[in-house]
Amino acid sequence: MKQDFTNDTLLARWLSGSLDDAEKQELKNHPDYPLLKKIADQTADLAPPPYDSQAALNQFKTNRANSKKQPKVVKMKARRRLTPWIGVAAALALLTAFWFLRPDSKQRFEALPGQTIEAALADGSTARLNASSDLSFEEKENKRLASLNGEGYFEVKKSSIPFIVNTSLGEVEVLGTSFNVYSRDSIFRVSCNTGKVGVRLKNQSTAYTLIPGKSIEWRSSQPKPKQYNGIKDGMDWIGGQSIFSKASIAEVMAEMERLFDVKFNIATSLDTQRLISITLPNDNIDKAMEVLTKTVGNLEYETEGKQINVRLSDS
Amino acid sequence: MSKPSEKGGICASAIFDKLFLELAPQLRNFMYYRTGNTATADDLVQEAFLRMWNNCAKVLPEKAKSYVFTVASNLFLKQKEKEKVVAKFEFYKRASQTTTARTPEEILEEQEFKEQLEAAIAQLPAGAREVFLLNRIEGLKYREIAEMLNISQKAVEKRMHRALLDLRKLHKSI
Repeated sequence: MKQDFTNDTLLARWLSGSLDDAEKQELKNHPDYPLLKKIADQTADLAPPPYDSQAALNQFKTNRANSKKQPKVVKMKARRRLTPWIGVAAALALLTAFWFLRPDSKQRFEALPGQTIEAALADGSTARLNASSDLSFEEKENKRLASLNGEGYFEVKKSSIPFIVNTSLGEVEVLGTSFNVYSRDSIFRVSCNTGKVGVRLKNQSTAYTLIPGKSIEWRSSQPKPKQYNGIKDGMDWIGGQSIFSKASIAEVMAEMERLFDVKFNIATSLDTQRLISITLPNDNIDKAMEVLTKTVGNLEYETEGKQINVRLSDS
Repeated sequence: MSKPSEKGGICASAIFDKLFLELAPQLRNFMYYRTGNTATADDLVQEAFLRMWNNCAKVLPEKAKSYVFTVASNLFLKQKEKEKVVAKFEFYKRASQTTTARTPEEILEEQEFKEQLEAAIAQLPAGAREVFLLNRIEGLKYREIAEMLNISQKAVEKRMHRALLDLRKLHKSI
């Protein structure tokens, strides 16, 4: 087809708004201009068919699990030298070892201030512990029992045996999902990433069920927890950040003490109950302090080893 | 903000899941524009991420996007040789804030126009269609599309121009 515009990128540049006056004139005078305009306008507010990325992720996990079940078969040549009983003996030895190791298999993990660790649990589940947290785990006959102090992100292997996370403020029960548990001081928070999560608060009879993308937070001073959409402030630390929305300055500083293994010495002039919203990097204390001082406003600090003295500036 | 301190790279499930949720919708739409078939696009996304998972130790987080895009494109090209894919496009009206009252005739006319346009889009050459949809529907800039497809911005603009010429022509003939 013969080119009916003087330039072979003219229409493209029309849409990106970078035509010169002569070109604009040429286009406006073209008999097809109204149709082209209509095509451009119509396509501007179209959207592709909707896509449920959470469903796709769940599908992906199923696919992934299935693909693992069919590992590549490597054919091996039979070795004549090994007599059959060696295999039997080896199996027996393994079984006995397993038997002896199994009963007293309480595992313990601890993340010190300033570090996060990955814990591989005996049942195949994994837990990632945030700074200043500890976890113990054991498999009992009818339950898998984890006890947590602090904060951890769990990916629980699917099984018919319930997996229970016990904390001083409440417990979480699941069969196989991923979720985050935060339990420190008076705050108990659970965020559900995949699957279903059952939550019970200490000394309360109501049980709550969380679905993916939902969180529940309970301050033990209050009678009831609040449930909300979003898991960002629960899952933030996995991505290397700490996100607080409307948290007290005291709470933010307590988390920083755990993350960076420091101690704050706070001048009385600072109102630590004031609420702030802030996102801190978990791996850089200087950056974190910079963000904090900017967010709080007239704040000054100086560092003495592991101690940080904080006060309001005079201005 | 700060980069996650990736000790285990993208092999850590939490990080991988995050990448999935971020990249899968983009990749799926991109593959939809290439294939014209949501089921094919969905499958390609699944397969591409599965391959990335199996190679997670070798893929840097910042390379994850180009990795899945490349794998999905290659898979599609291989598949295309085997079977000729019939593209059929369907788009949805974005909920617009400025809904002015329209007459039934206007709505009907707009619907017809949309269907004709969808048919015309399906008949565009693959390269032109891709560029056109990435710009019009995804709202990507020509420079961004050029980076994504690894071609020059000029080439993107030529394809875009071509797409509009063709759409106009095809649209007239329907």
